[in-house]
Amino acid sequence: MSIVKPEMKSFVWLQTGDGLIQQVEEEVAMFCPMICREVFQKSMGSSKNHAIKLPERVTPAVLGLILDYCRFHQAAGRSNKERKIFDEKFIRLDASKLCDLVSAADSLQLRPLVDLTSCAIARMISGKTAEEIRETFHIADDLTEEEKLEPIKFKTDDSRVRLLNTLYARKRKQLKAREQSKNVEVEEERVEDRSVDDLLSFINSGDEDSKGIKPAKNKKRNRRKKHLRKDRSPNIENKYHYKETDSLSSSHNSEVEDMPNQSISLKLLGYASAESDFDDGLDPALKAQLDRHGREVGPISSHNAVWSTFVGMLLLGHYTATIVNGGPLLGLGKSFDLLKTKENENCSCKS
Amino acid sequence: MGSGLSSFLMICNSTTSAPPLSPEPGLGDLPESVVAYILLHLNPQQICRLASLNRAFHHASLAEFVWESKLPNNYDLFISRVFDDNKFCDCLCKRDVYAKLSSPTFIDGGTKRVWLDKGTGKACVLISSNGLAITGIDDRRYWSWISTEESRFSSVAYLQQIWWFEVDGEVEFPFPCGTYTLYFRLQLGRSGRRFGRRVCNSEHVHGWDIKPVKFQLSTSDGQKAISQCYLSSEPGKWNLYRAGDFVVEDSKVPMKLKFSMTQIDCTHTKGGLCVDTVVILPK
Repeated sequence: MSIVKPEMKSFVWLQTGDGLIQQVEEEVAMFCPMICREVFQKSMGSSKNHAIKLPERVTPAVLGLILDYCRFHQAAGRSNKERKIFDEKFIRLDASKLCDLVSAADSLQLRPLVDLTSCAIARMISGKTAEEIRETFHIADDLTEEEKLEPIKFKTDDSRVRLLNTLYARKRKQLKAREQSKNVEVEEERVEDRSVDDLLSFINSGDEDSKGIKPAKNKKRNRRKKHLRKDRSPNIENKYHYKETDSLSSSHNSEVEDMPNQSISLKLLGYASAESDFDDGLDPALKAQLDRHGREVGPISSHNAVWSTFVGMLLLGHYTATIVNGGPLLGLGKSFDLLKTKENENCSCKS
Repeated sequence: MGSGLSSFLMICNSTTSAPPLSPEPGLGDLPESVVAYILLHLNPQQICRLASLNRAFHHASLAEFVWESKLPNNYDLFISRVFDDNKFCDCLCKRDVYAKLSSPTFIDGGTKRVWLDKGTGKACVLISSNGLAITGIDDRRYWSWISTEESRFSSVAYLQQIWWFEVDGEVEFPFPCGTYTLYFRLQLGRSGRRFGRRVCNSEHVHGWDIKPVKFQLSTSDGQKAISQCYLSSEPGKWNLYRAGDFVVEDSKVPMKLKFSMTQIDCTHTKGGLCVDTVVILPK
């Protein structure tokens, strides 16, 4: 640090997100473009009352780090090597500190620091799959299924792309059907609630309907069974098997009969509208059965590997070759996939 | 991928709940703009893998400036050389432009195939035997065409026997900056399929162990490479024989290359060779 008389140095007042106000040497603070702009354009920062409000993401701890960085780099007369050594030492932080640092630096528009920290983070996450990163950094997967199943719009002349798009379309349809049957179930629940209330009031008024209580019990039992069964991967054979076991175990009522298969299949296709079918005096237990079948629509196929629309494209191609006469074997890791060549030919011929 | 399903499922499925989110802000809370800066430092395959991480990463992976940095400097020259209609790059986002350029495309009447290497963004060029000048190719005593599935083009040139063996070629292409290597893809013996199995007929293979084959490469800016080698590998295997390297410094000017493979010692005949393609790959 150069020896300067205190009264010759000018200071800038900064206020961090939590309200803490501190003063910083002007030349250090002005290294940040955002602070620079505040000082020149809005004449802020000259006193405690007019402290520059830093963006939320800049906490005092992070601000300290940033100011260290600025203090080092704004000093003239440092060689490139010195700066590099400082930078390498500077980014030896753990992941969460680096993330704080990069978002604070971005909000202060300090581009060199953003580059430095984002490079460090990139080095940390390179070579890992998305699942591994989610586990390590505890990131929630907030992409909806629909978003993951966007169709691939380019290169539609490639048969692999077309296949992916058909698979995505099929999965989207299944999801929609599931949504629809879920809506159906929501409708049902309302209807069932009403019937329970009716029943209760009926019971309270004149206790005759022993049958009324039992369906409610059955409904709860069926619900529990439904939840447990969700863990297993459903397929068509299992569905009918469960239906049989349920009708055996759950029914005390003689009214609970197997619904004709046609109406169930209609439910599966989502053609039947919710209200009309459930108004013909069906038992709540039966309704529960129906809605269970509706929810078991479609196998949960594992397209996990191709959620990203683009990764399917880029990761599908590969080349290999043996190289002679070249001295060292170049580790290209590429080879001509002999079988795929013909397929490519067919594709290009068709287009 | 359970967390994407309905919340109803999550309430019920207490046994397989996702791990609790860490209380301190982390990678998952970074805004899109910051994530895009991080993606700038990763290669295209990694960007695609991470695009499914969460919403911020997904949107950041579509950022124009990220993919613009992955495209080569001269990609507009590349597009005009490879595609007749370069209007598409106005309607496609940069990521899709990258995808389009990195898939192999035929040029020059189907005699060449070019694409961008996905990892590095450098050009790869494949020149078929149709696009090469082979001495004596029209003479059925020496050369013949055999159609095969083992080539990226539909047929390869097969040499029965000849005294003067010479294969020349040239190409002009706007290569992005970098170092490239030129190979000849050759096979001794003639392979085919019999009863569903791959068989190799090496009855015509002779003369390659007497004198070496000479490879030459020269560029329009004065680089030259010469090498010699014996074609001594086992019959039935495709090999890349390295002719030489060249460096492209100025990507604004298309690079002209001339290359050849010769064995013109007329005291002996040679034969039994399949010539498939000339391959130019980044180093």
